[in-house]
Amino acid sequence: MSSFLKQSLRQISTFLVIYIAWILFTYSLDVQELAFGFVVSILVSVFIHKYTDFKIVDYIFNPFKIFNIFIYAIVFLIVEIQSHLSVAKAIITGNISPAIVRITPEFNSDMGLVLLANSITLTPGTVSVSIDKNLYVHCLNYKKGDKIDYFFNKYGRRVVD
Amino acid sequence: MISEVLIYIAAISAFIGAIGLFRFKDCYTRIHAATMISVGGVMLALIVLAIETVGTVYSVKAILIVIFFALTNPVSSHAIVNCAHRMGIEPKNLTRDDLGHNKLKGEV
Repeated sequence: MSSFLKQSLRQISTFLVIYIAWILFTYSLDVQELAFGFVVSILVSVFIHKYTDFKIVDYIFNPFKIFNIFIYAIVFLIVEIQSHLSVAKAIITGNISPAIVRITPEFNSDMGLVLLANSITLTPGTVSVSIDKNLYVHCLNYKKGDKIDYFFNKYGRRVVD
Repeated sequence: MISEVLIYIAAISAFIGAIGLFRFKDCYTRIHAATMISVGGVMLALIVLAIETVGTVYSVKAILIVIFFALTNPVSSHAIVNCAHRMGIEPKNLTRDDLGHNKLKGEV
């Protein structure tokens, strides 16, 4: 019984998030739009629930997670500004030293790997090339002893785990 | 005031990224310049739009588009670079290569 409750809670929370996103996108409270969005949201949440094991409940209804996501966003913004400045400098001066570096993620879950790879690709100056448990990252300006993933690993672990 | 400063920053970073697309001589390094355009240029411009029209429909939609961009842009960049890697295009002037480049050609 308890596991059934858990399953349905997972599905309902996924449905709610999708439905709220739909309402924000259409931005109207017509009966037609609401009904169509209802049907589509149910279909999509059933599909997600069947083929993946992503649990959005853990992220939405947990205040600590939300706080950690907020911290992560601030850290990400700072790293983003720094890397923008360094890439702009590299473009203007033309001094680059590209390298492909192996990174070992410090969390095991798939969600953590996705978060790490997306954050690395979204900052200019580093892009993830290939994945096989380790992550292979092409960086524009690599000096010996650089730790590219330091901040993402440190703060991302609190979000995911 | 702050939105005017930010829109100039967005324009400048898109301009520098466009220069970088021509200056770099390699698929892998050009992606960095393209990321700079799409994050520093497009996403920042959309955030400025959200700030300017705060309290209306357009603001909400601009924020949603920013989130959508942040989710899809890394996927497309990674798809391009991974495709180049699998086709066996060699990166130029590497100072370090943990991914022995010929080793992986048949695999993955």
